[in-house]
Amino acid sequence: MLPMFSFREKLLHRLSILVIVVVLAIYLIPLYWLIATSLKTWQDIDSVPPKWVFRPVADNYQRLFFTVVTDQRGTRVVGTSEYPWRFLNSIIIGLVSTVLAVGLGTLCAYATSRFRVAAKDDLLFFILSTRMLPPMVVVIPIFLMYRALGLRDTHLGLIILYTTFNVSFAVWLMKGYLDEIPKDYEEAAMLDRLSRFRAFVKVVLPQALPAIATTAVFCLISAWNEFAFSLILTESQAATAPRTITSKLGSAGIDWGQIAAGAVLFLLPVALFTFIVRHHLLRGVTFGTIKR
Amino acid sequence: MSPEPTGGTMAELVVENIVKTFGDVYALKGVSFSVKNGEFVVLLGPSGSGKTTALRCVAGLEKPDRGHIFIDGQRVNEMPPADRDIAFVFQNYALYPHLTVFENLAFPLRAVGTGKAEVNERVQNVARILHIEHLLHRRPHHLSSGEMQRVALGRAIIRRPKLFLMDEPLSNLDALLRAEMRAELKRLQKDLGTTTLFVTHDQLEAMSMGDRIAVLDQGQIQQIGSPDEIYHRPANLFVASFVGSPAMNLVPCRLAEENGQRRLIVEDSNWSLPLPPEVARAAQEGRAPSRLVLGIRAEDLSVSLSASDGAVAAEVYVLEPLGAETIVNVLIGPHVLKVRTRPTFTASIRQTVYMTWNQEGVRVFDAQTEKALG
Repeated sequence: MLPMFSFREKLLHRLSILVIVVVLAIYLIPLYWLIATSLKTWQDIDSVPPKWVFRPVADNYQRLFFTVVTDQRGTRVVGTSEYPWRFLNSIIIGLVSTVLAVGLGTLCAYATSRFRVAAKDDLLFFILSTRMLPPMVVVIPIFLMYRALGLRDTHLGLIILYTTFNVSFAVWLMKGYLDEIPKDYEEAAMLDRLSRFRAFVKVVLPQALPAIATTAVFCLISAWNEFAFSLILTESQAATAPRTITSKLGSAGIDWGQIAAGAVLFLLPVALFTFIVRHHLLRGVTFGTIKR
Repeated sequence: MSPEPTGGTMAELVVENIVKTFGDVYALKGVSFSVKNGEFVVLLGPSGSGKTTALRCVAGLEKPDRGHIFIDGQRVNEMPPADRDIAFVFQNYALYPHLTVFENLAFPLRAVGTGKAEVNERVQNVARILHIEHLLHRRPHHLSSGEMQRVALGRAIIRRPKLFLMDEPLSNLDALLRAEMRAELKRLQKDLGTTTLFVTHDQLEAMSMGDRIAVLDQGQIQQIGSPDEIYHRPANLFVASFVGSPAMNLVPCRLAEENGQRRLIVEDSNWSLPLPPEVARAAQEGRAPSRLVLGIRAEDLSVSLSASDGAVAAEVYVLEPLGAETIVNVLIGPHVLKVRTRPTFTASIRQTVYMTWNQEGVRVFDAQTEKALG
């Protein structure tokens, strides 16, 4: 027999579906519009009222990757553009700084979680306090320091900077999680003849994977999206994708098609990474809320 | 469980005068004890007595501030836990949650690079001894607490260590399983012959399992002895009241002359007893303290509904039928005494009964120092 639902229950069920649809629309329409714009011709982008139905073209993507010239001989590709290199810069800087921030953050979190460290609480507060300054406040001193050290417009420069900003976040997130892992596991491993470090690697790290995944996603997003420092500290060599996308806001008008194409490609890696670690992520974000 | 065919190695543990502080708190105030080759020693004490700290010092998980720990004559204070060749069973078992039962059992072997074939063979062997062959491919969170307990034991015995340390390994089991595992664990220890130090707050566990018991309270050893000694000749009031269920009856008493004879008079009551030899000796030498405490086990008292020679009249306070026996609570003056009787004994509350006692079972303590006389 089918379960019987009262009118009230049916109404609630339909209402909840309506709410989900509305929320999804709010999240997805901008994304749809971004993708649609990236596939439109300039005329379609510019049309009033906006066009919902159009013939998709790959022009914007082509011009994103290649330098395209149009003259009396027609439209042709004369070379690659800077965007792929900037994109690669973003990947290198984002990944390396994430690995460093999560690695250093996990070690620091483990140390403060397990050992007696002098003035531990003050140190942890100090680590957190580095996040309290808005980046723009420190941009001038950092600019001067980087110029003196020759770190301007280098991958290393941005990697150091993003790692520094993310490590405090990583320490706090990882410490909260490591505190929850009973130290009996490492002690058991040490009595099973492992050194402290090997016990950490073999027993603690595998259990901390959800937290590592969560921390890594947040660090990657923060490094990936960073704009202000990239704009001021880089010119060409180490320039990242976000800064390049905005460079399309030129004096000759705003090339919405290319901006949209750049932004769509820019979304993919983080979305992919989040998708890969999604199983760990759910556990990592909800840790502490479930009594283990 | 069948005996482990290969047998374990053995070792002697000597703990000498160890002191351990945490900040201003003294967890251990000079604790000494020893565990002989193949012996099963239980550290018994209430929570906060320092027993787990003592165990962790032996394991190397804590470093004592003072004192010495010797394993097989070698001082190990500075030796890291990994080098002490000790297996530790934790209260919560500490099974590695990301590894299967097989991998958990193999962990200590793989840690020292044991070959694959030998790992397999020894894991299978231990799994057979502990009846956990069917669990080898499960993860710990799919096990019941009894099964986890067996795996934890398996991980300890697989290495054939010099010394087993066990920190309340039975306390997370339900009562029925605990009673079963008590016997199995004791038999396993005897079969393996591995020197074992076992920590518990459960006096029944200590009595039933230990070759010897070290009773610990407030960071100090109160008494070390066989279960029989601890039970029948407690060294002080703490041991008398902590060990045994029901605990030893303890009532205040004093020495007095009665009909020209020195006797023990229980305060505010009509109960007087002849002096036990050690008290008589102390009285003779003039070193008997003025305030005393009389201790007597429930089984050294008996009650009857009819008066008899030398019996003392008492009032029934309440009856506790326990199936195999009945504990009769009687009032002697203001004092409630527990008397162990046969299960068929019946009496109503406030009824007068007549109590006799086994003079051999009488213990006398100094009320001031709380130590046993003699």
